[in-house]
Amino acid sequence: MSDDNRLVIEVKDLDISFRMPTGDIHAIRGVDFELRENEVLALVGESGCGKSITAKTIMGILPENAVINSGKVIYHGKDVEIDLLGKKSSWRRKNINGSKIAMVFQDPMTSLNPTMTIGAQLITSIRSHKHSDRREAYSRSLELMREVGITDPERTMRQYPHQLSGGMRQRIVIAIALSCDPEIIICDEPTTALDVTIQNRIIELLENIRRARGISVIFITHNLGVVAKIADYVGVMYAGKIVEYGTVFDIFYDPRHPYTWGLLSAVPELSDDKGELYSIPGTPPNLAKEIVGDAFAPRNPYALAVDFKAEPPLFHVSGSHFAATWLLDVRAPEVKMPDALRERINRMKQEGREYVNESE
Amino acid sequence: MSTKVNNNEKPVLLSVDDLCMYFDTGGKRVKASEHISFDIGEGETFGLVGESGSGKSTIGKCIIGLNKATSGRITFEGNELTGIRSRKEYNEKTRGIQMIFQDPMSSLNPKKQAGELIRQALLIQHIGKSREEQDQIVDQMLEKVGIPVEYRNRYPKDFSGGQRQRIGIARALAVKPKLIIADECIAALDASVQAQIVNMLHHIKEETGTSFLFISHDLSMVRFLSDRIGVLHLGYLLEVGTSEEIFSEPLHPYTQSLLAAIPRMNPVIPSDESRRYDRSESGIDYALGTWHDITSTHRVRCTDEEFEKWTEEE
Repeated sequence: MSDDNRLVIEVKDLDISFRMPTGDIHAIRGVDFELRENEVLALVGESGCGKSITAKTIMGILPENAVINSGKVIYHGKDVEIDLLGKKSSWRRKNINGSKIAMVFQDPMTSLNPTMTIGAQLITSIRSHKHSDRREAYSRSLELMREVGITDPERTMRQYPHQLSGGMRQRIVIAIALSCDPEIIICDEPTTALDVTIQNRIIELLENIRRARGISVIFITHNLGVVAKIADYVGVMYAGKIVEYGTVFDIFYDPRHPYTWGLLSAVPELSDDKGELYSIPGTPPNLAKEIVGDAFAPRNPYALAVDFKAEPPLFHVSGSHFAATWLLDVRAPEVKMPDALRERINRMKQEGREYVNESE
Repeated sequence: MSTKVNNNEKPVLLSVDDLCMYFDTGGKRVKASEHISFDIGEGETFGLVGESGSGKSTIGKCIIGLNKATSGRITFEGNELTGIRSRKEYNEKTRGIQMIFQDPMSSLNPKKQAGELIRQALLIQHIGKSREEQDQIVDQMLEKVGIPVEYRNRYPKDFSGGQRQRIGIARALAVKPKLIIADECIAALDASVQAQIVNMLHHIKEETGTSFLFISHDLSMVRFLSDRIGVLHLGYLLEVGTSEEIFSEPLHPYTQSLLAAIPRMNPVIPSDESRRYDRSESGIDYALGTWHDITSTHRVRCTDEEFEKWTEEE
């Protein structure tokens, strides 16, 4: 994890609206991030914050009523640099999607074809991108299935999606995503529909694949426990913007944005007494209306007067960590994170130190 | 009716005794529930946890009568429900049970306004003498679940997912049920909205003394709401205990693996590999197990040898 890794995707100043009969919805309001080789970037936030739309923009699969107002998605290949938004979708399907950037969706039942055997789907996917005969594609399919942890691949080749469990289906989807050796995998809530035990295995699988292949991952989720396990960098999204960005340690040990404080506080603690579960008050803003100031201000107990008037810029906390909140302005009064959260983070740090000492 | 008391010292409201539910599908028998026994006391919340396919929902459906149990007994308020032939009689006897479903969009009629949806429940159960009286109850319910009364004339599509679930809960509460079966009622919601709904259910429970059967795969939420928890796997109930017992002293390896699998919110600590569980590798045959008591409230389903081995290890 370092800035020396080669840049693979750069999203710059992305701004997207959806045309609706009732008026425009301003879904993405300026998103910037970088993804480097062999890194996992997690995008987290509540539903409707724009995390899936960001992923769809990179893949070029936005719905027809989406309008890209501005922005660039630059793909950095080994020796090329391409602004994907300037290319036609047919060109992207042929040259980028699948072979350079692949995607894994939330529900494996809807991303697999129910009328085709697993084998046929894998072989089709391999042959549509690489010139190989059926025999070659067949043995490649078996290899891929072993890579994603399927124990009896010959049998699974002949089965249909409905004959497999949810976890197995998601493994197949990952195998298909890997079939053309992509450099980047975008995972949109890949474990949300799965049970906790299965969820863990899929995350481990993705982690192993990343290590073995050295690929980059954009991981979209609303589960902060999962983020802590898998991410190198985290982007916290709110109302179509990244409001805090940093390494996984920055975000979990030193969060600065009140929204991140809220998200972290809302994760139930297993050792907790049965008090009240914390929840962020209110609901996300209606993006069909123009947003003045900080979009989070109405739900923010720490909001300053300026939050309702002017949008906060990104303030640098350190070289890798920044947050868009006026609380970081030099003129702002000193505001600390809630006591309960600070105590919890201290406990997390303590646990972490103990774990590191024990394993040494 | 003698007031039977369960082992959590509460008068028994619902008891499920040796329930089996098999589905015959084209010559193949799917055993969804195998010899399930538990009870729920008055004012008590019983949490059922397990992965998908473990038979959690089947049990809820058997109780409300959507599935007809293959064998076993279900008793509610002292009346035996299993064996009732007529739908009318079943409905009569289960009047005190309400259900909240996972997906509020598919369980609310999209063509009816929120207030009307709740009033319908009152009409079916003949509650409230006049329209005015019913409207009053509807307003009370909306208030109780935190929906502004002015929204009474809106349609389900006009509400957010969390608000829709609140309407579903208001509808269930309107008829003052003794028992609410909540089947994955927060699974489709965002984490922060989940917390809001769970907090609300917690208040309702304290305020009205309603019993809950809370079915979920999310252990942290189940722990928060439940007085006692039952752990299901592959149709078998493996361990039952108070929330404390299940979370601090789980005995069955499957329960332990479930707890270890909850992702910890700490980037330094990986998940606990030692607690991995694979039934075929573990050599445990659930069918051979019988109930073994650990404490008066905590019991586990296993063979004598397994019980000895597991308790020794502790």
